[in-house]
Parts: sequence; C-alpha cells; structure tokens
Amino acid sequence: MSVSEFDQIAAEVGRDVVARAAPQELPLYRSMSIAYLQSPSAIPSKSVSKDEMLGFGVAEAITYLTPVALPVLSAVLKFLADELKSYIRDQHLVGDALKRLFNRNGPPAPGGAPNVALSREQLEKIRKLAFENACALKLKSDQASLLADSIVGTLVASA
Amino acid sequence: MSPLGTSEAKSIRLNPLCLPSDTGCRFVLLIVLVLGSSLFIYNGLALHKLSVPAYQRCMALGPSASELSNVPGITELRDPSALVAKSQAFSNCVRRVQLNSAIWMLAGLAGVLTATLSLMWFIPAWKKRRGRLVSLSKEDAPAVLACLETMSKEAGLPRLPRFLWNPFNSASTGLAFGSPGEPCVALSGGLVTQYYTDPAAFRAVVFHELAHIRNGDVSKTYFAVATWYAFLAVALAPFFAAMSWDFVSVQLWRVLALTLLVYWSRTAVLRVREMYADVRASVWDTPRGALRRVIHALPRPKEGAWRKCLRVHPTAEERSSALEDGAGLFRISFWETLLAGLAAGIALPNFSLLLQILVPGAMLVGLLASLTFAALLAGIVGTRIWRATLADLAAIGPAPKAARLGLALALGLLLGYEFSLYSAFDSGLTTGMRNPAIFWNCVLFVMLLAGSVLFMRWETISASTWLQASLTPQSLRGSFLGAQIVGTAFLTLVLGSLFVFWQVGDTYLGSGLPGFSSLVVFGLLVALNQPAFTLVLFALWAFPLATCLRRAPADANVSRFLFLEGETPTSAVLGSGSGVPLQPKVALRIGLTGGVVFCILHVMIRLVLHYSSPPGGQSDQSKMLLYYSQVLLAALIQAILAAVTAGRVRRLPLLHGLLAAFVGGCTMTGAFFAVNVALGGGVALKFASDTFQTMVNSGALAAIPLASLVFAFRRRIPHERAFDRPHEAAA
Repeated sequence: MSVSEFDQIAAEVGRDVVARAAPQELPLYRSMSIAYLQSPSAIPSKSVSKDEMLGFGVAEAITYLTPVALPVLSAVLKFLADELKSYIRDQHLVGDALKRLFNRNGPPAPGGAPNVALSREQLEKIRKLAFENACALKLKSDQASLLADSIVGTLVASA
Repeated sequence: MSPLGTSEAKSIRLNPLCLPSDTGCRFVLLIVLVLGSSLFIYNGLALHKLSVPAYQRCMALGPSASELSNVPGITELRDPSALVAKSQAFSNCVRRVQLNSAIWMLAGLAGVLTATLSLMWFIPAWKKRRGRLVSLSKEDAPAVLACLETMSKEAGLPRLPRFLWNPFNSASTGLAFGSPGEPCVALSGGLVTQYYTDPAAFRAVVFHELAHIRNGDVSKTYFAVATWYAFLAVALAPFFAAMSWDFVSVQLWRVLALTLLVYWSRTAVLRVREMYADVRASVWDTPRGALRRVIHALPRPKEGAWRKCLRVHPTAEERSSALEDGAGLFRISFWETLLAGLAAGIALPNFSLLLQILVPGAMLVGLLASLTFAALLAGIVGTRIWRATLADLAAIGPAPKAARLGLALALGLLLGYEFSLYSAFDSGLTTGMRNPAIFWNCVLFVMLLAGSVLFMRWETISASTWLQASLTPQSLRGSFLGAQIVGTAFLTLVLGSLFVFWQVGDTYLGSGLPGFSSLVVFGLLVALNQPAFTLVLFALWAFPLATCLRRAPADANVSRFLFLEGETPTSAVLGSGSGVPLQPKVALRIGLTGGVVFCILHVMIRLVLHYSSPPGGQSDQSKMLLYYSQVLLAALIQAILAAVTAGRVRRLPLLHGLLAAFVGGCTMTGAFFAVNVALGGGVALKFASDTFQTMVNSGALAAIPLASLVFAFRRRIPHERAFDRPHEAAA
C-alpha cells in the first residue's frame, strides 16, 4: 500500500479518533481532512491569521489535535498493515481490514476482509508509536498521550 | 433620589448609544482631514505645475507698473479705456488659471473618492481570499450555525449576516466586514471549537462582532481604512512624484504633519468603534456572560506611548474600563477638540479657495464655507459636549470646561489655518510680523476665542437642560438635533463674520487703504440690523428655556433609555442635585417693567422735543440723533434688565437675562412706534423691522457682558455658590 492510501484511510477513520480525543474539533474535521489529503505536511496545528487588525483581538491560539491526529494515524495504519501481512494473503484486502479494525460494527466490506484481533502487546506498541509520533510533531506530552489513548481506545472499542 | 455617582447606583451604566457615537464624530473628522489634505496637495500641484507660469503670463497682460505710476489721478484720467481693457484681460486670465486650479482640486478629490470606493468594493473579496474564509455550512457545524442564527435575532439585526470561517486559524477571534448590503462575520476555527469548550466566551466574541453590524460601523471602518490607502496612493504619492525638490522641501513638514493627522484619525475611528461594540455586546451578553473575562484575557503587550497612540485596537485595560462604567466614552478632551478645530482649520481655507473659484461673491463664499464647517464643528464638538454633560449629570464624569474647550477649538482653527497651503503662500497671524494686519488678526482671534467659549457654554447648557427634560429617545434625538441646528447657526455667524472681517482687513490693511476703522463701525451697524443675527440671539436663549414648556414627567424613572441596564432603579435620576426651577415668568415681568420705564422716558423726551422743535420741523440730522439716542437708551435699559434678572434668577441667569432683555426690547420697539404714530408719524414696515432688529440686537449685545459681570460677582458670594450646578449657574 502506498503512503497516500494510508493517508486516505487515516482521513476516513480519523473522525472517530478525533471524536474521542477532541470532540470540539469535529466541525473542523472535514476541512482539515480534505486539506490533509491535498498536502499532508501543510496543516500546522497552531496558526493565527495575520489579517486580524480589525478583528475582536487575538487571544493566544489553541493547539489543534486534528492536524497531528491524521499523520499519527497514518503511521499507525502503516504499522498495522505490516502486522496484518501475516494474516491476510490477498494484499488488496489489507485496506478493508484496516478500516474494519477501526469500525467493526460497520457493514463488512464486499471482498470479505477478515476480522483481526489485536493482542495486548500490539496495542501497547501502537500506543507507543502514536505517542512518539505525536511528540515528534510537537504536540505537548499530555495531548500526545490523549491522542495515543484515543487511537487505542477506538481500536479496542471496535474489537 | 441620588445621582449615579453614589454607591447605591454604582453598578448602573449610562447608555453611550443614546446619543450619536464618537465613532461617527471621528469618522467625520477623518473625512474632513482627508478632504482638506487632498485639497491642499492638489492645490499645491496645480500651483506648482500650472499656476505659477500661468500667473506670470497673466501679469504680462495687465497694466504694467510704469503705466500705473504714470496715471495722474483718478479724476484727471481722460481715457481710462486702455487701462480698463488691460485690467479686464488680467482678471479674465487670472479667473481661467483659478478655474484650472479648481479643476485640479476637484479631480484630486474625485480621484481619492474613486480610489476609496474601489478599495471598499475590493476589500471584502480580499479579506475572504487572504483570510481563507469559506461559508460555515450546516454540514460542518449545524449546532454552531443554529446558535449564530439565534444570536443574530437576539441582536436585532434586520437580516442575517453571512457567516464565514477559516477552520485552520486556531486563534479565538472574529471579524465583522462586508459591504453594506451583505454584512459578513468571519469566525476562526479556534472560536468555533470554543462553542463546545467555552460557549459563554464564544457568545461574547460573536456578540461583539454582531454589535459592529448593529452599530453600523462596519462600512465606516472599511471606508476609513480605504480612504487612508487612497490618500497615500492618489494624493501623497503624486505629490512626491510630481513636485520638484524645491517645493517639496519647503512644504514637507506640512505634508508629513497632515499625513500623520490623517493616520491618527483613522486609527482613532478604528479604536473607538471597538469600545462601542463591547458596550452593545455587553447588554446582550447578560451579567452571566463572558465578555469581561474574554477581554481581560487578551494579551497586553508592553508598548510606548507613541505606539499606543497609533494602535488600531484599544488596549484590554481601556476596553475593560469602558465596560465597567463607560466614563471614557463620555469624555471630551482638550486635544480632541483641538483636532476638530485643526481639521476644520486645514480644510476651511482650501475649501473656501475652491468655492471662491466656483461660486460668485465673497459673501456667499464666506457663508457657504462657514455654514459647512460650523455644521461640522457643531456636530462633532456638540455631540461630545452632550455626552460629557450626560456623564456629569449622572455624576460619573467631569462637567465640560467651556473656556478650555473654547480655547482648544480656537487654537485648532488657527493652527489648522497655518497648516493649510493657503497660509503657505500668505502671511497669516503667526507669520504676520511683517503683516500690517497683525493687530487686526489678533483682535479677530480674541473674537474667535470668545465665540468658541460661548458656543461651548451654550452647548453645555442646552445639553444639561434638555437631557433632564427628554422623556423618550425620540425627544432626546429631536432636542439634540435642534441644539446642533442652533449651534450651527451661531457658529456660522461667528465664523462667517470673522471670515468677512479677516478678508476685508487683509485687503484693506495689506494694501494700505485708508478709512478702515470707519469701515468696521459701518460694518457693525449693518450687522446690528441683520435678521439672521436676531434669530440666532433669540434661539440662544429660547432653545434651552423652552424646556420649561414641557410637561413634567409623571414617572420619575422615564429616562430609563439613558441607561444600559433595563432594570434601572428609580433612584437613578439625572441631575437630581439641581432641583432649582426655571423662572421665565420673573424674566418676563422684569422685561415688561423695563419696557414701561423706557416708554415713560421716551414719551417725555419726545414730548419735550415735539414742543421745542422749530415750526418747520426737525432737521434730518436731529431725527438721526434722536433715533440713535433712543436705540442707545433702549440698549442700556435692556442691559440693566438682563443684569437685574441675572441677579435674581438662580438657574440659567444669563439666559433669563437675555429673555428679559428681549421682552424689554420688543416692548420698547412697540412703544417707540406707538409714540411716533401718536405724534403724527407713520410706520414703514422696513423701517419698523430695522428698528426692531437694531434695538433687540444691540440690547442683547450690551446685556451679555453686564449680566455676566453680575453673575461673576454673585458667584463670589459663598452661599450663592452652593445651590446650583456650576455650568448651569454660569448660563
């Protein structure tokens, strides 16, 4: 699978993760995921428009979680795809299997992707991977932890 | 009942929106400054590029100095046709040059206006593009959109603004912009997320932006921004591009000072509108709202006084203070009044120059120019005085100081004149050491100062009386408008008279022509029987005293609209410290008594003269002497009447004095003609009206200083000081 395919899946499954980690950012999700797919490295988590001369007055900008959640999720999906290789012979089904990992209650894919259960060790690895990636993207430790927990939580909740 | 300053009513805030806002005043000031500065620059351009060589050509057409010096004398000149023809050719040539200058000035103004309007049209699209703003859709944030629609209805907006957002902007802020037909509110992504995390803060920011639309300041704001850029591009850039260094180096300080003034005025508009939006939003935001908290949390960068002066946003402290008691929104400062005078002073000579070219007749030019700028000054300064008086009545701010403000206005007008290009090529007051009119100009400045102080005091009195008598927002608006009309008329009279006096003085004294003092006396006599003069003097006392004709309110709490909070306690009543009623009946009685005294004296004089005159009747000279002696007697009695009234009446003594003088003047005119008819004379309508105006006007002019003296004497008595509000007592 290519990087852009992982990004695509990340954008598809990321809403649930954002809903857990930062529900207030859900209104932004559509715009951010579209922008992410167009240019995955272009969205800063903290940005202030310079054209605020006549605005209300600018308080300190908040740090968005969504712009970090998507690339982190993409890295997690890449890890999961490597883990699934041993379970799935038909590599075309990996994408569906990944989606199913995040949404088991949804309708099964037409190709019949298998339901894969993740072990405790795998989940711990995913959490560590997510946390490290989030920190690398300059997210504060508590927010990185929240994001990692939300990703694992989504995987566990749909198990 | 207690005024607002007491601890009982500390939490009550005055409504700064019950009178025209300072945003409007500052906006008008900006427009005038841009107008004046653009006229200045384009007049300079025309002068530099066209007029100097053209005037030189005109000089060649006129009679030469040798031709004029050879003229033996006006009575001995046999055939003046050659000289007349040359003079005519010179005048026509000058007129053509002036017309070209006018075209340049008008073209410059049209250019600045066109650029401003184009920029205004372009700004919304540019804002959307630069701010990466897209429509906030139901698909993204249905709850937020529903909340915004509800809030727009709460704000009483006649139509829903268009809500846009930039989801990528993580700051928590909003922006109102757009064209008058399509107002827009832009929200940042950070603000939209606040709808979930801190809904109160979200509402506070959105209400603030909706308040901008409700206050109608969005168009003013973007006009102010656009006009600044238009001024830079269409006026300032051509000045530096087209002028030679010789010209630029001489005028550079003027142009830079004007540019700084325009910039400062623009930022002043942008700053003050934020406070009005905060105040309006705070009413919708309810006491549980978060507006104060959000404003308090805004960053407070450390900056110097100079930077602070030029910033486009008020500081968080200023905004918080405006929200607490709003006293800052009701203040009138010396410097702002000076700036108003400065703006008018800069624009007035340039505007007059333009009018001189376009409108025939110096009197008409003087009248039009004075009327325009009097209306402007009355609007700006008058509004601020009314606001400051309201704050004074509510005991949250100091009373306007008429002398200080009058000085600021007069100084501003003088300095503004010195800034203008007109004075750059003319010897005015400050450059007038070599000017023979310097003494005359000083006299005119003192008259201007006196007129300005009188105007300030009169506005304060009118505001004080009518603010207490206005029962509804409509009646307040009506009385405010009435006051500004009377104020405009008074200022027109002052500015117009001074303009004519100044021009005459400049021409006569500058050219060394004889008989100037006789001309001044004659001018004053002509002015005395002007109906406009009578009307203005009448309006000056009649307008404030007319409040006693209003029905007293049944409910002491009727002036609730003057306060922001709906639940105004009945204890909050304006000016409750005064309590002294107006006494027009006393003034009427004194006036009538004075009229009777004049009548008796006049009958006695006329009878003596009638029976002692020669059989052929009196000479014309004796009749003139009798006429003017009776006018003088009438003026003297009116002055005494005003002084007696000012000594007896406790509230608005000077205005009561003027009323007494007027009543006396009317009675005296009536008596004068009654006796005239009784002794076999007639009453020609024109003569009657001239006599009435002369008697009443001269009486009022004599009454003002004498009644003021009496008042000043009375104020020195300790027990007399305590009874009234100082500015009302002074009236």
